[in-house]
Amino acid sequence: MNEIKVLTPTGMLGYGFPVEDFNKGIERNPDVIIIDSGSIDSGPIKIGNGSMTCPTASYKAELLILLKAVYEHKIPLYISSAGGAGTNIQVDKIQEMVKEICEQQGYSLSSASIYADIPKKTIKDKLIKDQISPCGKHVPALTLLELSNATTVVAQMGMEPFVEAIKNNVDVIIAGRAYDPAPLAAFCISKGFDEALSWHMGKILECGGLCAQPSCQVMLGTIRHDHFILEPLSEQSICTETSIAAHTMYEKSHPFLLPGPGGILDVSACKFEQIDTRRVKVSGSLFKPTPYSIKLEGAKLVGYRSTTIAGVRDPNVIVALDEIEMMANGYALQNFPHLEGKFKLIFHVYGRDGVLGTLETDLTIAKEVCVVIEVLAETQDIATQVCSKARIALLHAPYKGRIATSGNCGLIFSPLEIPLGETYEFNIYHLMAVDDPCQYFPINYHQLG
Amino acid sequence: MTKMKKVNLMDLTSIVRSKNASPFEITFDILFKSKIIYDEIKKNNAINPIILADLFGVGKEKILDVIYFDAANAVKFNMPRTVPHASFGEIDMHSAQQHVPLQKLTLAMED
Repeated sequence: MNEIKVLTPTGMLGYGFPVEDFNKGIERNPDVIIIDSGSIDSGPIKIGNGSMTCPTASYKAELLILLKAVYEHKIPLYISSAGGAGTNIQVDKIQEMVKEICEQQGYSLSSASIYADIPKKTIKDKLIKDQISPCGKHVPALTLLELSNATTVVAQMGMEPFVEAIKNNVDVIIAGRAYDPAPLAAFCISKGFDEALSWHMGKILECGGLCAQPSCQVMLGTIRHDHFILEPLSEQSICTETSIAAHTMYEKSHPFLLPGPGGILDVSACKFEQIDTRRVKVSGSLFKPTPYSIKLEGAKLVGYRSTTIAGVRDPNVIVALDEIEMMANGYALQNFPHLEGKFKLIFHVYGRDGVLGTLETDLTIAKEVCVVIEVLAETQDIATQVCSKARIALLHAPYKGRIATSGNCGLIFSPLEIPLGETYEFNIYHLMAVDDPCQYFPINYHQLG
Repeated sequence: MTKMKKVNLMDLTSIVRSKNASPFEITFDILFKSKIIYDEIKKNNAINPIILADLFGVGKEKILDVIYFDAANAVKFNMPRTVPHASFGEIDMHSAQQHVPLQKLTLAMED
């Protein structure tokens, strides 16, 4: 085998892709279709309660297109970090959708579900043996209390559980939380290709066409024994040396040392070469094995939030917003003295420092601002009650020098307070040393349709 | 002596961006337009913790790991997030807008 072609439809299952670009990819006879379905970017709620990153209809629409290609062209499909966080619940939800489509369409396919939830008992034992360490300088050491507070904990699997499933020649893999490049690395390495190049191509393609300029969705990656080539399948996009180098260092804390389960990808001596107007060739990546550890991700419930959104145009109100925020806090406490210390309330002031917060250096006063009230409390009911009092204060508080006495803001929605549901916080982001890369990632095999 | 001139970072770069590197850390990427520009920046260590701390109005200890990456003509540095990702008080879920202060950075370059 001299080369492998990997088709990546998009950086995130459910985000959408142009079908004509995907079909162009299929015409190139790819060996595998690989699609990431997860990211911690949209918050800890995905781990916390298993809610999905995209609406069910979006997943189904894309799976329908992907499974047709699997069935008609006999190309395997690997989905990783299913549903957003890659919890067992999310793996089963995606698995259920795949099954339903196979039954409806009359496709007979084999599948493997790989699970990534880690039992707290396992983590506790490892913690006692001192085999758990913070992942990053700003992560506090894990305690038994935080472990017990976490609702769900997943771990990022490396390539080995995928290699296991690949050995069984399945048509579809639905994996729980995985290190993003792992499914691609597993496929290429198991076919005998260089491990550094395989990890590097996986790192770039897991985001789909984000590495192209302008960014697009569908990408084709071709790996050979001493290099790989990246090509966007949208006519409007190209890959450049800069766009590929940039993506190599994207969302990582080190630009050229990328640690993962089982080793570090070192791209410091890499060469990015433009081979024609649209394609870039990459070579020179190195892989250095390290003692095996897997990254744990966990979240705890911290309460419930409610919000109100309002616009302010009166310049007298805009300069008084700090005073009004204090009055809002005071008004909530005056009405609910028993809730002192039991809620958090802040005003986000867009047009002032809403996006940069304490990093804002430009304090020019805007013509118009948006105020978003955020309240966190133990129950949804309390959060909404406090938010209501804060909203009333924002609307009617008699700030110093007020002359427009009918209201301080323009509201846009009724209901005026919007309950936001559960709020989670990441409380586990740690490395756990393991001996066997497959031990904690059980695989279930199914025959579908 | 080489004559120097002040140049805005935006005139020297093709990419300036920020992004979560973990739930607790923001990473910033600066990619220069050419190897010549990058080499001069690197030689003078023009992007360093002192200049960045001053620019962002934070203590020097908040500017972590300023690392030059030759193969990409790039510099990367990290900062701790002000609140853990998506917890109460979140203002930029992806940390995708925190690069903006860099747009004001001016550097002394050889004329």
